[in-house]
Amino acid sequence: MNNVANAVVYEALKNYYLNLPHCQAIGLQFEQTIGTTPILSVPYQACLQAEQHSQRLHGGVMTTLMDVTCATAVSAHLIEVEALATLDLRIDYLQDALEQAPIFGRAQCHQLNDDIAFVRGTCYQASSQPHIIATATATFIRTALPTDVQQIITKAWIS
Amino acid sequence: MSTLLVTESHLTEQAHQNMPYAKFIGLQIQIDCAQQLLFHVPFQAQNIGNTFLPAIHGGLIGGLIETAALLFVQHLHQSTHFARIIDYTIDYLRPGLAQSMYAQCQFTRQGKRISHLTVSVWQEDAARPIAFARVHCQMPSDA
Repeated sequence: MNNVANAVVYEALKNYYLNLPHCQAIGLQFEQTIGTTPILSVPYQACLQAEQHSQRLHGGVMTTLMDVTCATAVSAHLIEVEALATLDLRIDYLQDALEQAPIFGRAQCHQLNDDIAFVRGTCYQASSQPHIIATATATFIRTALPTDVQQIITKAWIS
Repeated sequence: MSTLLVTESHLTEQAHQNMPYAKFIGLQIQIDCAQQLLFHVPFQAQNIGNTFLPAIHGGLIGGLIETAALLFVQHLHQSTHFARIIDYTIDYLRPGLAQSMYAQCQFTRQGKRISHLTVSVWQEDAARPIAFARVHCQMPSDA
């Protein structure tokens, strides 16, 4: 169950991000929202491997997953549809990913200022023991959108 | 075919073989006039992360940075295995437009166990990068 600031805004932005060409290309999927914490995932795919002989996803896939998850986490706090642009993103790789397994990302926006949003997230794999592969720390700059653009996005991305 | 072109296509082919993600993003390895490795990602529709501008996805820019860093270290060390990225930070400076991206790496510290490098990513002008990263790597044991 979620308690996002504006369910329509959250749904529209979440769907917009998930349907971006690059997100579609890597097979990014939405799992669920717990409170204001979105959870997204990317399935294991051989074409996204880091190395020829080890069946683990490349860090670039993790970076993309965490960038989108963090943006979605900000969206959970927005009252209106806005543009978010990543200012910086730090990834700490804690341990190797498990082979042939999907990766999950969850994030929480812990501070939302007028112009800047601060987010922390983790990238993990669901095994019997929690297997955290990476942590992410991101900042975003917020830009207000004209009402007509907000309406275009809302109309296009609410099912 | 000139020696340079053979080397560039060989490096690209090897990268695609050893790192499937490099092939997925369409990476091309070139050698610039200063004999430095130049990592080139030609634009594809699947690179888009913002349909309004349109702009390249920041996650893909990160993927290029990691790919460039790992291939750069492996090439300079002539090692069999890739280094392991411990952590890295990307600063996004300008939107990446719907065109080719280029990346180059520079060692700040080349160590036996740990190396530090910077990666700059640009499109039309190397003096106006779209992203800049600092990377800490753990060197492979055969380096």
